[in-house]
Amino acid sequence: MDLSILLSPPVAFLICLALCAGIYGLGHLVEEKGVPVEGKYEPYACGESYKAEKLHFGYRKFYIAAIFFTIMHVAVLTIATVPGGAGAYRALIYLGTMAASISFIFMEFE
Amino acid sequence: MEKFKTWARVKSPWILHFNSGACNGCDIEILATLMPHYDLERFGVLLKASPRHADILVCSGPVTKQIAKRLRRIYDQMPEPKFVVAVGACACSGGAFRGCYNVMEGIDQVIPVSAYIPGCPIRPEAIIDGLAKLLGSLQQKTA
Repeated sequence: MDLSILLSPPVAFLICLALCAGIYGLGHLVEEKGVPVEGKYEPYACGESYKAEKLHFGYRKFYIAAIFFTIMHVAVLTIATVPGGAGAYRALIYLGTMAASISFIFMEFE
Repeated sequence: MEKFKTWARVKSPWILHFNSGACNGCDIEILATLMPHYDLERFGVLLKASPRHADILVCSGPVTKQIAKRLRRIYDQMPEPKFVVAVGACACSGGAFRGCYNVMEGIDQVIPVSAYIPGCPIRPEAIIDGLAKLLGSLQQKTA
């Protein structure tokens, strides 16, 4: 009999799930049954009533920084790999474009 | 099974420290008891930050009228079985604040207390002794 099937992810997952359910059930069996009282299952807030609030995470500032660093990284990579010689001045045009792009970003978000 | 549960509880009681209006004198001593010099953890005692994980509520202060409801709710939020230790003279009977217009004169005015440890401020040795006696009494109940 091939027992290696026990190590396959779905079977191992089901075994772990059954084990966890068993431990949870055992805990439920041996626990002391308390008297239900007001506030027992409310969120712990140092004894105070916790007023639920909706949170809205803002990524606005993160995007400013992320786009800024992306542009700067590409700019640095481009400048670093510009071939030398008479045509190297064209990198300045590229840098100017980059500076304008970054300025637009900050103008837009500010 | 009951013996096993008591053994687990006595060997590793988790505590919640709550100041219900103390002057901080007893709180400093409680913290000193938990620090390495006195090392209450050698008895398996572990300080927790939530009443949901605590077996013992270690309470200092005379219980101000403002905090009484909060103390009751924290006690209610602890899982069964739960124990309360009144630490310091104020927690036991109101101490220096007894008779003041804004205090309840002791923890037992609000929640049932399992052990009283008087002192002003209380010595860490007394806290260790009180907790050891409480744990000893728990062990004896199931012996």
